[in-house]
Amino acid sequence: MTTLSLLQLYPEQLGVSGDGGNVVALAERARRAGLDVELVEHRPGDSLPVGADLVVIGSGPLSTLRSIHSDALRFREALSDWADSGVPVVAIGGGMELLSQGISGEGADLEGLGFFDASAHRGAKRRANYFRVETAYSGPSLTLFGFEDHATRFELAAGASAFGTVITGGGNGDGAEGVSRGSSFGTQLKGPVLPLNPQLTDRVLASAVSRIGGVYDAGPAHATLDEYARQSRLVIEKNLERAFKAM
Amino acid sequence: MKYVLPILLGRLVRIIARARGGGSAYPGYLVLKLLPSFLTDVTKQFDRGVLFVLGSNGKSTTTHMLSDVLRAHGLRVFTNPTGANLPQGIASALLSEVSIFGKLQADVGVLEVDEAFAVELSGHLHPSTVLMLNVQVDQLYRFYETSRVADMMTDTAATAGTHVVTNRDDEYLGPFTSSTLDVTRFGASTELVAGAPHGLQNASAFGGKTEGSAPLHAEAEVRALSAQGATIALSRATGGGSSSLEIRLPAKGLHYAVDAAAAIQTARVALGSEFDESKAVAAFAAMKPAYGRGERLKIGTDEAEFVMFKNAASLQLNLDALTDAPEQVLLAIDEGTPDISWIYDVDFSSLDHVDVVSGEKAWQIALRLEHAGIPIGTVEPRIEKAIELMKALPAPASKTKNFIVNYEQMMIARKMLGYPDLEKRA
Repeated sequence: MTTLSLLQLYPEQLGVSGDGGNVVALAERARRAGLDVELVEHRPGDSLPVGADLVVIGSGPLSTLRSIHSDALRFREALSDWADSGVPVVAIGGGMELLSQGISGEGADLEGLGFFDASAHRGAKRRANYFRVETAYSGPSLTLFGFEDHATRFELAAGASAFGTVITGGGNGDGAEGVSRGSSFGTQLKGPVLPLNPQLTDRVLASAVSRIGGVYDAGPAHATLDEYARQSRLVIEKNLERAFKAM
Repeated sequence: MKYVLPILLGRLVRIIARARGGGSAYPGYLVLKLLPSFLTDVTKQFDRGVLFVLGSNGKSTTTHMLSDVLRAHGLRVFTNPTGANLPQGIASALLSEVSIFGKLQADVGVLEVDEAFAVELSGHLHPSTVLMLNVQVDQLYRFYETSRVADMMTDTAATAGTHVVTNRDDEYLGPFTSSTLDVTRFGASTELVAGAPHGLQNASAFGGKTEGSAPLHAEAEVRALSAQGATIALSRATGGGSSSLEIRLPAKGLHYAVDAAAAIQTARVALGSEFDESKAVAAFAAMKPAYGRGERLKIGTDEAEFVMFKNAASLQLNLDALTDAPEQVLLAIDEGTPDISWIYDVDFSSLDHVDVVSGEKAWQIALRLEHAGIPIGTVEPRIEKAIELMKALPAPASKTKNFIVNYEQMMIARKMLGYPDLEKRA
């Protein structure tokens, strides 16, 4: 049986937006497709893992990004090498910003890992709303639903590609949303994004599994998950225009 | 005489608002517009001043406990109803009790206060004592940076007149000190916290605030939990004897015991030598649960036990307080809690099934539970229908149907079960 090694970076510090849900969705769907899943968690001070088949880094406020910053910089080369060999890296919110060239504004001034060729500028108008994005990640156009909650303008360098296009919401601030690099991507989509959008999850899994010589197919064992996700997205679509009062 | 017109107008608006169904903070808003000094003028009549209760979770429960303990000591207490913790909500609550000349017969005010408005309110109400309960990860769309929430609370504590009571076990709040204020603490013993499935759920400062500090003393510490209550040890940081109180709790769970320790310690400092342990014990013995917090209401021949939550921390603590997997469970969340990403941070393994999931977020709850392999009976987004489904289930051996709901769904469910008068005074 194919074993998929799934690495989550800083589960406590970058895990307050249900980021564990993205890991759960990947692991549960992989298991239901008959794969073995090995979950690895990296915490500050742990030795660097030798490798992984799939990496997830979640979101957290600036204070926690600062607290893990020096540890995270150790991943600069490894993450880049893994991604170049086809390992998908999924980065959400603050995790995506940490993987950019750097975070500035509001006294942030944090050097990034330079994994994504983009830079994050804090101090944009805070957005807390439902979020609809279209992406062509690893296949034909896909509509994604979720939640966004951030105050970042995300600027892509010339030549960098966005993860998708904003249909409803704020995203990067210029109509684009997130950033992609091969089979890796960063996004502000929360909710969390992977349980809510199983087609995206399946594309991530298919990339990761094919790299290690296995086959990933969703089947009848995924039907209930898919139906609950479809209904959840319908409710979000109905409430897309609702705005929530942030502080 | 400056009070008569604003108060009459506010009352009139309040009657209209209630006739149209339900409470409203608008009367309070109107009075504050007409008479900006209203909050200060009314509360300065309290001989014993005003006590603030701050925290991410447990404010209503602790305010309720502290009020009852003070009443047991013969004080007349003014307090704000559950959740009415913004300036206009507090003004609405005062409006319903003052005379048209702005007089209010109370000895002390016990007020739960929203962290975001606490410093501003302190400027109007001049609290003698500020109690800080906890900093927990709250609804992210409002409080995305926990360190900022902690600052709001400690900034407010620094404005207290005399006493600050803080949580020894909270990384942000425990170390609070002051050269001019009397600072004491409450907490739970190391053994109890270590034995709790997911601890106390206080937010971690991630090494930012507590390095190299000496262990802190808790003058009121929860030492043991029993089926009906808790043992709370009382002491002083230096000198003096210690004692141990056996109290009954109005609802189950370590978090309620910690709230009780907080309320008792606050009553101790506010009352000074008048504090009487036996009166505190008697207050807890007679205490009813705060609305929706462990409250039991009739449903047919059985009882619905309500557990209310607003974020991951409060849901987890309430799930951890379950002794056995409940026989019959309804789990409901609606748009009152817009971003529920955090349900994936909650460990639901204390449930072996859920009979009905409901509220506008029903499908998202179902999706979460399916990922955790927890079987679901029915997904019914309409809470009215969901309650009918719960009613129709055969009588459980425990005689209890558990309703685990967010605030808005609790209000609707309570009303449907024939308990409409939730916000008595708001």
